[in-house]
Amino acid sequence: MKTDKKSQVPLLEGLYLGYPAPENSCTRLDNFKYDDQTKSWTNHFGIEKYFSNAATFPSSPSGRVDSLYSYLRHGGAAQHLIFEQGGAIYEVNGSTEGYNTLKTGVKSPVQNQPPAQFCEFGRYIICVTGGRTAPFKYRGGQVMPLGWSFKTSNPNSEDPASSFPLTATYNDYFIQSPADFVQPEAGSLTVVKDREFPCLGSTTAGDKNVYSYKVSAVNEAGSESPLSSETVDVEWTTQTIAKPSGNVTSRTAVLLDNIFTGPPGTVYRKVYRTKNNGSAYYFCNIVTGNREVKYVDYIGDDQLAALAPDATESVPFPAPAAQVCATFKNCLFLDGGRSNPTRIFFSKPLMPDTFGAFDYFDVGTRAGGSITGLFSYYNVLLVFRERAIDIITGDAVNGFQISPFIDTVGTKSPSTISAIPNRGIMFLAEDGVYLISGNFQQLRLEINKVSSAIDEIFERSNREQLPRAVAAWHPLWKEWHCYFSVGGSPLLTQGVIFHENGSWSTRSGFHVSALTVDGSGNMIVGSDIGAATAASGQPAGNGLMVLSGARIGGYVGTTNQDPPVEAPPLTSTFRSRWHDWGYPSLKKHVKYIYLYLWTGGDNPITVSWYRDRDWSTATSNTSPQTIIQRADHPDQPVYGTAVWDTDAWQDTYFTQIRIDIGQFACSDFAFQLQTSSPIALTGYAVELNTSPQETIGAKKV
Amino acid sequence: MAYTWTKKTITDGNIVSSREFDNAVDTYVDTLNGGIDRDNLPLDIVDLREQSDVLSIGRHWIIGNCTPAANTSQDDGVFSGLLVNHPKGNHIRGLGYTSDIIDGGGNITYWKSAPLSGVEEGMMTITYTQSTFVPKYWTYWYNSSGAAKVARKYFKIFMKYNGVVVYEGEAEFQSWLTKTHTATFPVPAGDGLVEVGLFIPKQEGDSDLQVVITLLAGQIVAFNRRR
Repeated sequence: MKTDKKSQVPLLEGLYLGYPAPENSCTRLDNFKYDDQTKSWTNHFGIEKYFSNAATFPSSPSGRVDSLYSYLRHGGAAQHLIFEQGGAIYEVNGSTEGYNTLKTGVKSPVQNQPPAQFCEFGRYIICVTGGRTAPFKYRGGQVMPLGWSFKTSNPNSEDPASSFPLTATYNDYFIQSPADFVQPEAGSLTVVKDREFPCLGSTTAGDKNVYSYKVSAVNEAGSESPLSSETVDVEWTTQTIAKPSGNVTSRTAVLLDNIFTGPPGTVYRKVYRTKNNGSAYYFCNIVTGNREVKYVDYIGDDQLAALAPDATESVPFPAPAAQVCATFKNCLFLDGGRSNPTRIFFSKPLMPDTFGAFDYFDVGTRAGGSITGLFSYYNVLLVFRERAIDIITGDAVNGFQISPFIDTVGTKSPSTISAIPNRGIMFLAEDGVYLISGNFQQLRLEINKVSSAIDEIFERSNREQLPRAVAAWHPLWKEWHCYFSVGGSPLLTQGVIFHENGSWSTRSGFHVSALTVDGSGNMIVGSDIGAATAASGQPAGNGLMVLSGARIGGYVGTTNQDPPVEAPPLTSTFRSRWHDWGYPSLKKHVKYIYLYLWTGGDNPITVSWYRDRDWSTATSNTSPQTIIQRADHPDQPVYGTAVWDTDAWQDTYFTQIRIDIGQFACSDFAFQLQTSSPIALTGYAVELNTSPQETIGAKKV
Repeated sequence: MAYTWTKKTITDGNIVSSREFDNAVDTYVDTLNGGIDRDNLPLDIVDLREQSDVLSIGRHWIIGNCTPAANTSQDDGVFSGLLVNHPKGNHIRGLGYTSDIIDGGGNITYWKSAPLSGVEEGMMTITYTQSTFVPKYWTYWYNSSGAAKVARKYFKIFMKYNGVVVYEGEAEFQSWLTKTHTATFPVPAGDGLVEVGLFIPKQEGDSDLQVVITLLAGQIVAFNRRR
């Protein structure tokens, strides 16, 4: 049929919820991903079990997956997939297709509490939970506490006896230097010259000797604990000891007992000591391992060299309830937690457990609210607050500086802060998604809102549950996933996707509560269902799942509650924008829709069309089922009927599928393509006839 | 290496697209050719024979008695049943300062393994258990009647791998001692040579008659883990 007007959208771009809509936008784009190679929107994906060959979901643990993180070691040879579920933290054990428990007794987050936050520090993964459990670090094998949560206790020191052989009380001891046997000088007092075991004390008979000790512990990360308080003074008086070959003076070693043993990860203890009758403390020696509690000190005063660190160099861990963490310029940055929400603490460089007494910032002197996120970007550390963003620059050697970046924009969703290739840092704020971009010199560090096209969705978000929102960049599919709560739901039911072409779409039906990306670029998600079985027809899922190319829309229970079965593929919905062809008052008769598709085979699709901005079915029409084959060519062979060694392998062809529209007049026109069949939609064209008929006069009251 | 999941589902009704089919199959092939390891290989899927023959994660060598040759030892000049009819019949035999391998003290390598052939790039763990006897009587006996200097008798065990010291023990003062020394360190592929030795304080005014240390049975186990 001849038509007198044609219009086309050759390359569909993303979702736009507003008026007027851009030419290439659409009003619904749900469960599609963008293929930059063919510039098409496809639905060749699904969600399946992490252990996809397992017949069942693990029954334990159960409940929503609260947190999830993946990190790699040994050049990717070792992957640690860590998740929190049901009050414990687990690591996936691929060999047993099960989970190893890392930590129990973790208090599950409440609805307005963010998931556990992770950051990598050298070979460690650091985990903070906002005080739900003590912060810890992990490098495979053993969970170790983060920071020194206490001041080291001091050892017991006992006065040695003043004479030898012992003539004093039962508890006295006298540890003579082996050197005394080596070099007695007949007829005179010896000057002890032993290099390794010179012993302590004056060499002049009658002198009073006084020493005092402090100890600290050092862990495998190289962090030194706070120093203990000093011991009780060790005192004795030098005396002359008669020996068969001459006289020597009573220099002795000093015995320390009950030396502090550190938490897991401690590799040795350091002993500091004063010089004789001195007050400054010097490094004396180390006590290797974390088991020995006794130490015998033979070190002479002239062998003491380095001064002990100042008491302010290492203090008890200042942020036991930290909610967010980041590594920047070799230092670990933590917030102070809910009780100290405007303070940022940072560790000594390369020592994630050592915090100095003065190594902190307080951003509470300016409006902006609590610290909600930390993210390092180029040469700055972004400090996200509820309604402001600050930046930290500098380094540990020359000092860090903090300065404001922007007021009025911040985030409550630390798990949504993500790095996007070629773009910058994207995060979810209260009113939408923002992008921070800029160069190394921070001269053009900029922030821009990128979600204006879909702000209507964020208006429906549950503000109080924004801390639970999660997001991550999917490197294989080149899209940013962000899931949050809308419409009062306690679950993250709304997914919005930012695609590499800069457009948006939505995802639904995924049951996501946590996100991460594994070493191969797969997006691993934590299920928010948390039940291995479900009633018939109800969604089931527990533990970890993965977004993959499987045409599975999750799992559903069956009538006899046997292991849940695979749910049908996800339903994908595309709705065009409303077309009024420049003059809505004029009535149009749309004749044809040409879908620009890549041939897909015999799986059918249907198209529904609507008029005058009314999406109700009462005024809609639906096309017959149509296959995605070229209309004017022989069908391409498809799986199921193609014959091996007879039919030729095929390419998919770019084609146009014409949908005939029934006769009707409209001011505005739109159509919908809703299907579970695999499709690759690039654009569309509409042909119509215009008529002289116009919108009739307004209805009278 | 992570699990590998479906890259694209091939379902009935889809066009037999060659590229999609290749991509789907290549995913499996790629996984089989290089993507299988402990993370995605179920436990016990490989039986013991295959583990040891094909997929072993390492190899080990058990090396027997690694003490000095008997002819390097000498009898003690005082506590020797050969020279003195000692009432307790004690007879101490071991390495003295005049032994070639001690030669007055210092670092002494007294034992070398045969080359460990076929070491793989990875980690080497050498565990060395050695029983020793260090006669201490000399210090007291010799010095009780004179003013000569006597070396303090102790020793430190060290281990070398291909000439590089990989372990140095603490000073051991005990007379009778059995101790296990362990070192774990990265190794390149190739042959490896394990050496063990000890440090003895140099001779002072001591008599050459004495035995400084008696090395009793010693055993080394070397274990090479590879990725």
